[in-house]
Parts: sequence; C-alpha cells; structure tokens
Amino acid sequence: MPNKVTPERYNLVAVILHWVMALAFFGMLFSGFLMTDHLEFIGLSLEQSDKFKLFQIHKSTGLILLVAFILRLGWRLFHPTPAMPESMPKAEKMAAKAGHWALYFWMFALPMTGWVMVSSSSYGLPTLIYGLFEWPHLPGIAGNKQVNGASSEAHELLAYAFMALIAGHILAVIKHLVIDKENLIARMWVGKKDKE
Amino acid sequence: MTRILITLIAVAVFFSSPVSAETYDILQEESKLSFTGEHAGNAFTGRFKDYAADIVFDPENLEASNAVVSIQTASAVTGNKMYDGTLPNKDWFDVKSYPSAEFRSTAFMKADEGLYKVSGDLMIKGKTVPVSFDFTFSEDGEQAVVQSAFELDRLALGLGVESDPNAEWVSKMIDMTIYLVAKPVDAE
Repeated sequence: MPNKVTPERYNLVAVILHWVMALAFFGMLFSGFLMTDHLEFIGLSLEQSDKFKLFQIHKSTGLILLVAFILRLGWRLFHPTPAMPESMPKAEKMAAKAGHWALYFWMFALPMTGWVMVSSSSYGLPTLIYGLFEWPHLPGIAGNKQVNGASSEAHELLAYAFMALIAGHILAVIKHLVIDKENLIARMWVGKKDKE
Repeated sequence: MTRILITLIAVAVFFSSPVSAETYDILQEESKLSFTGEHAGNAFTGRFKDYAADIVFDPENLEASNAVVSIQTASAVTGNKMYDGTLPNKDWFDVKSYPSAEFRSTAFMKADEGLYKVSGDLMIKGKTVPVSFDFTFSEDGEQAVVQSAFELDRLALGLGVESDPNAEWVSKMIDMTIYLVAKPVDAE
C-alpha cells in the first residue's frame, strides 16, 4: 500500500463531484419514476405537458451526468483515495471496494442506457440539452424497436438496482458510524476532520 | 429543334386547356399553407414554406377546373427546435423517402355562393388518401383568393403511427389552413 501518498480524506474535487452527483442522481431517480407514471401509487402524477418537460430535463441532466461520470472516473483513477479503517475486516474491505466500483458502473450504465433509449426511440425527438444545444443520437439505431425495448428494460432494472446499491452505501455509512464508531462521512466532506 | 419542340408543347398545352377556365399562379409571398395541432396539451402551429400549385379554376365551369398542389415536406417549420427536429423523421414526414406530398383534385362542386367543395387524392408517404374540403373563392379581376380551413386525421395520413398511435402526445386531428393568393396567367 502506498502509505506515504494515502491521504486522510477525499480531495475537494472528489467531494464536490460526490455530493453534486448524489443530489442529481436522487433527482434523476425521482423524475424518472414520476414521468413514467411509477409514482401514482403515492398519488403523484403529471399533466402531459409537464411530463414532456420533465422528460427533456431528465434527458439533459442524464447526459450531463454521463459527462460528469467520465470526469469523476478520470479524477478517481489519477488521485489517491483515503485508506479504509484498519479495523475493517478483509471481507468488509472487499465488499466496500466492490460496492464502490458497482456504483461507478451504475453511474455509467444508467445514462448510457438512457442515451441508447432516446437514440432508438420511435419518437425520434432530438435531445436538446436544457433547450440550449443539441446532443447527438447514437448512430444506426434510430427507430430500432428491439434496441429500444431492451434498453428501456435495462434502464428501469438498473434504476431499481441502483436504489438498492445506494441504500447499501448509506447503510454501510450508518453501520460504520453506529457499530464501529467511525465517522466516514467526514472524509467525504469539506473543512476540518473533527475526529483525532 | 428545341425551340420548335417548345412551341409545339406550348401550342398543345394551350389547346388542351379548357378555354374558359382560368389558370392561376400562386403568389407565394402572400399565401400561406399552415397546420395547427396540439402536443402534450400545448398548441403548435407550423407552415409549409415550399410548395407549388397548378390551378385551373372557373366558378362557372367547375367541370374544367383542376388543382394539383405539390408540397415539399421538408419545408415544414414550426419555429420550435424540438418539433422541427422531429417532423422530418421516418415516422412523421419521412422526408428522405418521400420529399413531397401531392394533392390532386378529382372533382369540384359548388356548395353556396362563393363557397366550393373540392374532392381529391392526397398522396403522402406512398399512400393515397381521399380528402375533401370546402373553400371560398373570390376574385377582383387582379387576383384571386382561396381560403379554407379543415381537419386532417394525421393517423390516416400515416403520420406518427409508430410513435403515437393513440394520440397520447400529438393530437390526432390537425387543423389545416389554406390562404392562397393567385394571379391569373394571361393566355394570349
């Protein structure tokens, strides 16, 4: 383990990307379920015109998140991360590592399947990022029903699995805080680490 | 040789056209061919910028009247980037495979004073759909004005059948508005 370069905490860029993207992904999960009528069971539904607008915002934000993911991955690969607590058993460390890379994979797979969906949709609507500029469709799949069906299915299943992963991520933080008395959130926050 | 041929064609065309019916040239600047519908509960309006018409019309000789209007589908504009980016697609106008749509009249009838009815075939996206609508015709010697408003069922025309067959987003009925200003072509 490269002890000398292992920092105490995540660096500022990583912290900002983590929280901004976390917030954005919560918004994406919520908007995604809302605009596809999955929240009717709690009495939430939209007028068609609002639904259309939300779809456009969801598409725009999703593609921005894809760009953000690429930046984040690049940053992660070239910057050291703080070491896991010494007290953590090996199996837990491995689980944490796997969980984190799974989150990375999901942050890529979700926008990617979304992009495939809009590119293959029979609606053929252009993707105008917040109405400002056009984002291209992936070539060669316009109106392809098989591709559209598969990517829609994948996008939805990935969203459910993502919620489970996020729940696991949060539960792990709580477990460390309550059981192991380790406040790991401080490493993913700004300002002074209040421990030690 | 070419000149003789043109002359022959001109003579042939002249004698084959009905003597009394007037041939008109559309004044594109003053005319407007527009459509209105609803998308996600919001109204949209667009128009065709490029079309050509061969119109022979005489209120006194409806038998000899005839209209052929050819519309370049790629010239449809709504001013909304989202719609303008979608209309040329395969499921809508499919402008690559079918660059133009054409209306050919089959019969003219008089409905009332200054009010006429035309029946014809609309050829769009390889389909031929019978279409008829009422229109008013007025002329002042200098120019003639044709006005009409009628509805078209976009699904019957094969527009948006794949993506929105239940008119969940785009209204099934599209209001067409025709305002044509035409000048008689003087036959010598």
